[in-house]
Amino acid sequence: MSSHRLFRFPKPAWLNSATTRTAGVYLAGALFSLGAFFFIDAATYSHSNLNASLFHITFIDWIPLICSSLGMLVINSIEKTRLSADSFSYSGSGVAWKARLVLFLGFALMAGGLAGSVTVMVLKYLVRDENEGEGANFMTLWLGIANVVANALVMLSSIVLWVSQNMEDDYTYNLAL
Amino acid sequence: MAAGLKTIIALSFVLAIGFLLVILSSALFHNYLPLLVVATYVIAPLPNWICGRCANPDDFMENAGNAVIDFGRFCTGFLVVMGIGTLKISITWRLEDAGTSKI
Repeated sequence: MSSHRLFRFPKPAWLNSATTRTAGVYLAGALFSLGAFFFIDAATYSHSNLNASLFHITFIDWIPLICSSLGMLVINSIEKTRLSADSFSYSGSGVAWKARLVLFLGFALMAGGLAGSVTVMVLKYLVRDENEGEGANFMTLWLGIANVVANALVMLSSIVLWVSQNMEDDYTYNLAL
Repeated sequence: MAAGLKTIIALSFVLAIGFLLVILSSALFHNYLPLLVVATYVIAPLPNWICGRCANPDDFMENAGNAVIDFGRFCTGFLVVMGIGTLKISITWRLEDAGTSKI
């Protein structure tokens, strides 16, 4: 592991500490709540008196966010060491491909959520027929953009959480009471 | 990380000023929605504490309690940032009720 590295630059020392790991977990929580906040803000705007147009956030707009959150739950519940398991170290012979299948389903759910949000934005807010006569209003378009931004932030939070959970901290003892 | 006495006094002073400002702003303008922000910040350390107690800290050779602690930290980070979001949403609600459309 030390001499057969792929990159020229050495791995920095702060990347393996326990503090970076906890900071990564907190950052993942912050990014997830930021994504949820953007969408809830757009939903309260569309339900309020400030929304003068005909577009409102319905249940269809919630589906991509639910899909992305489920995908994040599936991806981050997998233990990473099971992905590269061979049949000697684990008693079941088919652990590795089952873990990879579940990981693939989680990735598919998350990518489907992001793609679904882009689809909802394009079909509902960008392509307008005779519903909206006056022209492109930015605050109406923001209802669709907030959906995409929320799903992208959930995906980013899942990436940060995955990276920080699989950081190997060498033999840290939890001696807290 | 030993928190000295001066740190504790300064932090509690800042907390008291924060509570004073929130309660004053709620009472002066008769808008009690920012109290939700304070409630979010009060609830925020709870997942961290609960999951820290649920995970087993006694046997330090076993690493299985890490996931529960991580989940508690995730929820705490979520609630801390959601406190700021609650502030923005409560302001928007009150402005919408007042009829101005400045936001």
